Amino acid sequence: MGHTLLFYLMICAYPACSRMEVTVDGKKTKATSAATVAELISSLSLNGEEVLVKVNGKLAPNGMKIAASDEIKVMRVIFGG
Amino acid sequence: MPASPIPKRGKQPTAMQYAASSGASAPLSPQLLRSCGSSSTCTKCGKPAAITLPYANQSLCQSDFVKMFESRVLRTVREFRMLKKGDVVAVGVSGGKDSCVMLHLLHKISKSLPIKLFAITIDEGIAGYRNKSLEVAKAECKKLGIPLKVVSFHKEFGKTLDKLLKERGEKLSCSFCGVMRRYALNKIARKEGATKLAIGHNSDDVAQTVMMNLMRNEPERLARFAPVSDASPSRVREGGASGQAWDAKQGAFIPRIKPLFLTPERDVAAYAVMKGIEIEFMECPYARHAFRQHVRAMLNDAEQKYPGTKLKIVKAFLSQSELMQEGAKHRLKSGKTVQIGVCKSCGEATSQKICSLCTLLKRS
Repeated sequence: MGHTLLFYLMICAYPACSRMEVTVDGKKTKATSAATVAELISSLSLNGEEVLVKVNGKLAPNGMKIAASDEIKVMRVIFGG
Repeated sequence: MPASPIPKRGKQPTAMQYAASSGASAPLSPQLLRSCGSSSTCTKCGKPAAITLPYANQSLCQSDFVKMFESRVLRTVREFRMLKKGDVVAVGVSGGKDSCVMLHLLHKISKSLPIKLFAITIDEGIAGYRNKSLEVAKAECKKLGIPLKVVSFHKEFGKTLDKLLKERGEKLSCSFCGVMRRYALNKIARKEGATKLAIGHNSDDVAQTVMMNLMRNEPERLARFAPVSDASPSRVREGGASGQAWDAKQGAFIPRIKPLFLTPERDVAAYAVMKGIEIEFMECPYARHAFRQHVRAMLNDAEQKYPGTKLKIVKAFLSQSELMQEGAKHRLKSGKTVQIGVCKSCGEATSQKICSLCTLLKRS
């Protein structure tokens, strides 16, 4: 019984654990949980050459480790015009 | 003979040696490529990094990035002899990141080199886009104490771009806008007494222009393309002032300088963010129609897979530009190439009998 409950809780909790909230061009969205900035850019199907990422208000390099609790903003900065 | 914008090899470091000094042309082995972006500490000082530069295989902290960025622009200006004491520089400021960053850097340069700056903003009349960036341009100029001249398509040509494109179709947007904007910038710069016109073209723009000229089979146009646009021999009138570039034909064409010629677009954006230059990252609503947009996407895709691709295109172009200019000069002697003259219709600078603007407007 205990094992079944634990398994059930894990299944229910999995989607929440595997998603993280990020802001892309001012719009909030859910992204697949990523360990680093580079992984996040990849999971959002963005080109790293066209974006800058701010973590907790500061520009972040690709290798920076991130957590779901971080405030993450992705800015598309390469435009035509 | 006009002075070449590209110094002779061996006398001064070349532009790409500068790029290399920032790591831009460092060889990228598969191991290095795999490690690109894996560091979260500054390659130079070991402090927490603020940005990864895959083209240079580096991560830099804010302080080292700003230093590298500013010194690269300064060296570009020196390398191509873009400015001299006493210059009156008209700065084309759209309110976008490139022009605003360039304005800040030229303002910084003006503190050590006696030059006068003023800004020109062209209001093409693009609803919901230009009015926002116009506010940014005004705010940045006010912040730096640089006089700003706003010129509208409506006032200059009698029509906004929106109106013109309603009549002619949106697919021609960039053809119209580019020609009209260059025309207006040159005309106003000249009227205001400018000796140079600074344009915020970055190295991404350069790589795109090179590729577009190749893809369109326009070698003549490519030969004329340079960090300082008046210095190409193909643009010099035969028998013009001794050793001088096109300013022999004073009053028509204001030499254009591109201080961000060797600076990647993403770096410009990062610098703007770091320096707190308040820019809205916005796309022109007509950009989707542009051929450049496809080339940009293609090059950014290649850059992501093979970091350094765009700067390598710029490097290849610069290494061949002397040869292309020689070829253009040869064709000039044999009368097979165009020279800059004055439009028979409007009196503005052109390489044809009738300038592109008059041709476009006549067609409309």
